[in-house]
Amino acid sequence: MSRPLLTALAAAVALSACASDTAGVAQGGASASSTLKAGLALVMPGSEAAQTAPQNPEALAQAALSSVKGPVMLATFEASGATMVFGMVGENGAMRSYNSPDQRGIVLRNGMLAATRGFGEDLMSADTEGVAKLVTSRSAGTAERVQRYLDGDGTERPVPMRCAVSIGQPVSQTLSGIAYSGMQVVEHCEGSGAVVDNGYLVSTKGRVLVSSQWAGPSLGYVMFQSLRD
Amino acid sequence: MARKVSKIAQISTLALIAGSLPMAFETPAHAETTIGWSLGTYGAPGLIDMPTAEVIKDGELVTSVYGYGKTARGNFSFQIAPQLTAVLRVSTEDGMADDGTALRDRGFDLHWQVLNENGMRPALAIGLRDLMGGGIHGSEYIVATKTLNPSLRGTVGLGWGRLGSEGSFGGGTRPVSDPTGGLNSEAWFRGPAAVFAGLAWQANDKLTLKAEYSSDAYEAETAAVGFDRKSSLNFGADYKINSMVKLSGYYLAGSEVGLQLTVALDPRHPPAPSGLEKAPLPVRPRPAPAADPDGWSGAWTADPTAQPAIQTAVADALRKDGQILDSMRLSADSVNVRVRNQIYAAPPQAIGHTARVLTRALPPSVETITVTQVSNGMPTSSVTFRRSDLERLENTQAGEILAATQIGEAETAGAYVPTEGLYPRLQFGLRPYAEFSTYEKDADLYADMGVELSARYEITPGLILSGAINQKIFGNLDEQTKVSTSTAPHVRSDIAEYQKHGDLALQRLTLAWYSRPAENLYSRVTVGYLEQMYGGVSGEILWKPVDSRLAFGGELNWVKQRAYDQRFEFLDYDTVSGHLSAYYDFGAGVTGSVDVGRYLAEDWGATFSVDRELANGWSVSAFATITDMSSDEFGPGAFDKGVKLRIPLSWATGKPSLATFTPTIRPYVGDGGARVEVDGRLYQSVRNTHMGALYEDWGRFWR
Repeated sequence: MSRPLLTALAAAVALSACASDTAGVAQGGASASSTLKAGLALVMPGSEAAQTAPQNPEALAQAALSSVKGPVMLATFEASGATMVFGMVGENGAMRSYNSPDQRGIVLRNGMLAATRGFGEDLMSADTEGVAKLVTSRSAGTAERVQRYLDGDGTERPVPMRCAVSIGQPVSQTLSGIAYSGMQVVEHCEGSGAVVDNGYLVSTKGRVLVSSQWAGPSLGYVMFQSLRD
Repeated sequence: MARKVSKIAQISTLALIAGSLPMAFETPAHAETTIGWSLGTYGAPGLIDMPTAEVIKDGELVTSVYGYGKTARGNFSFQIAPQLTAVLRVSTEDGMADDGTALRDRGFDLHWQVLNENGMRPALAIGLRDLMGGGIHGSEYIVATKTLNPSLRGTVGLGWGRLGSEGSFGGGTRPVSDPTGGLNSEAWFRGPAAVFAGLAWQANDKLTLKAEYSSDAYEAETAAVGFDRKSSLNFGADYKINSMVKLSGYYLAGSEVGLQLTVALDPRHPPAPSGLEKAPLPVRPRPAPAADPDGWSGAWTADPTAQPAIQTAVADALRKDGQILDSMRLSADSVNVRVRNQIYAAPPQAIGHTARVLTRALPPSVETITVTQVSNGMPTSSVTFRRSDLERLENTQAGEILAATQIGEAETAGAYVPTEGLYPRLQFGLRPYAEFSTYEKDADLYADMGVELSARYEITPGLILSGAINQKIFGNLDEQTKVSTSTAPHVRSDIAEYQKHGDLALQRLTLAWYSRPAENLYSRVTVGYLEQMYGGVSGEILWKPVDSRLAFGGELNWVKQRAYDQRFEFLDYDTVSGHLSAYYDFGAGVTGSVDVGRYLAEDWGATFSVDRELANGWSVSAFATITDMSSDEFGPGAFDKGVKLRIPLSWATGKPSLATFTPTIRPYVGDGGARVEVDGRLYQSVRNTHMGALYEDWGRFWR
């Protein structure tokens, strides 16, 4: 009688052991972290500026631009250190859906992260209208933001936060071989036990060019770089 | 950089979830306070031998193995409701059998936290140990536990039976409990009582130290094997190895050392992150009317090639997603697709994918999108959207699209165009299996491992020929020595005879026909070798409106007992069995059912079941069957009861799959209250696409 249960435990443990391996996306290693550093220097005032952008992401970016049509994003995941290329697969109003070659997805609305898919413990949805208005108009102020996740039981749970948006410095720099120039905008959010610092580089037209945004407790921060808008 | 990382590290999922709870969900904040720090040696929240008034985390399933000297216990504990813990226990008690050998015993306990800890008020619980065994553990208690400071809890209680055997007062003589295994309620809270007490101290995240003043005299053990009870004080330490596993050591009665290993499975904390899957296709918004005037006007319907092209495109996209488009009914302004979800444990996720695929394939004039789920060929429910809502609400809070959605009865007629080339459909499967002997008093455990080859041939939708055959690779089930001495017809108790045959044992070979005879009605007829022990005919009908909490069903079977070798022969025994059933969905994933009727041994009675399911697909259900078969005739335990688990593979791997692991744990397999096992019973096939279950799982719609 006890054996089926123990088998279940063993199976669960074994399955989990192999499942955790599959979570990994293309590993970027050290160069990814320096891209991150360079990117953060772009969007975060006071961060240490990297001297030159690393070679690898540049090659990745160029390869992506030549092989993928339409808008392309480069995303670097702080938690895993992986860098992935995403091509746009859908556009619905201000919302753009991008997929990676291995069919994981990110969704951005006015450049603000609206959802992730296929990574596990994904950001299900985000209400970012208020902060998006401030960020894209490059103006300071406060606004609400709500991010939603499925809990372990499978029920959608909201994480409401209150965010203060402030303006940093104008910056012009090359990242992964692409020249960016715009204004630093930072967003500090607190609420539901979370403290989040997002940063954006916003063009004069109000486009988010490069950003570091918090995707959730398991994905952590993601650095987005628009390779082609 | 480092500063940022540490900030992220602080944000655990738990903090997030707890922080967001007051928004909409039921668990009150103070409910956390009496979650048990440790399990006792009997598997319920406790110190060592003494219970506490704590609870286990809701829904948690804990296995613990405890031993001292030559005595060992295995406890399976389920938190079946936030306040109610049930424990099934098997044990080997050194020297306690009548002939002085080890007693192999089993027991069932209930622990109910009547009051939660609140302010100055301690938590209060009552419990029944071994409430139907009449065994040596039989005892009852009332206990209070108070959190004295964040790392110290004190417990005081009053015990009867075994827990009232040391330092007892009053009560006269405790009535002798029924040794045949019925409810021994005549003895509950009777006889001498005694006070017990204890403390638990969480020294740090990993270590909890425990001390208790025990009211258990260990009388029987002292008499049988010379247990040396030098002291009423027991001491213990729990060491948490990780979030699932704990190791405990005890110093008992000043003379014995005990060890306990505890493994906890929390359905709410999957071992892998949920959602390792392909991203869904996004909604494709329609072009402006000026850009596609023919598409918007509906003029496209005049083109005879339009519908086939659309259907092929939708079928291909769904196939890549893991779903099958059975058929489609398309008009200028609406579409209804019948879809078989072959992949997502949560139907709303499958429906969400289908709806998005449709926005990409349909001409702009189609505004109403209906997705009908199909189970075993039966359309079971329809979910209808306005296309403009899908466009407007994509990737927003799941509740918003739900509010704009209609869920209702599936059309059973209509001009549906079947997708070409789907039927007949043949599927094969090969998988490993493990089979175990039943737990018997004074018997060893036997097991086989092997492979199961299965096939399913769906001739037309709903008419299905299927079978499975087992081939043992290794094991010792054939060495079982158990011989059933049941005085009732051996409808189940000869299970060992069947288990001895593992070579090409035909598990089932059936022709089943599922259909929708009328609105809200579902039917099934199954003919053939239904299960390991029975073949025959089984017919079932179910009434279940999509939005109804209540459902009724009826089942009638004529079955004949199969030969032990599980080939094509039969034994002499045949019978007619059948049930009338009522099912009720209480909400929040809890369903109850009552089945009244005649069982395999021609005994009459009723089965009561309660099932608790989480949105991630985990479920735990408990059942008990009371029939007119006497408890003597049934054997140990007096009546049939047990626990069924369903653990979804997707929970363990994070990847989408319909596969589940469904063990049934029965303390004793007797001949009373036995039902024939048939695949595809209707309520289970239908329920998860009906309103209650769709609402529960709806958070996955945009995933």
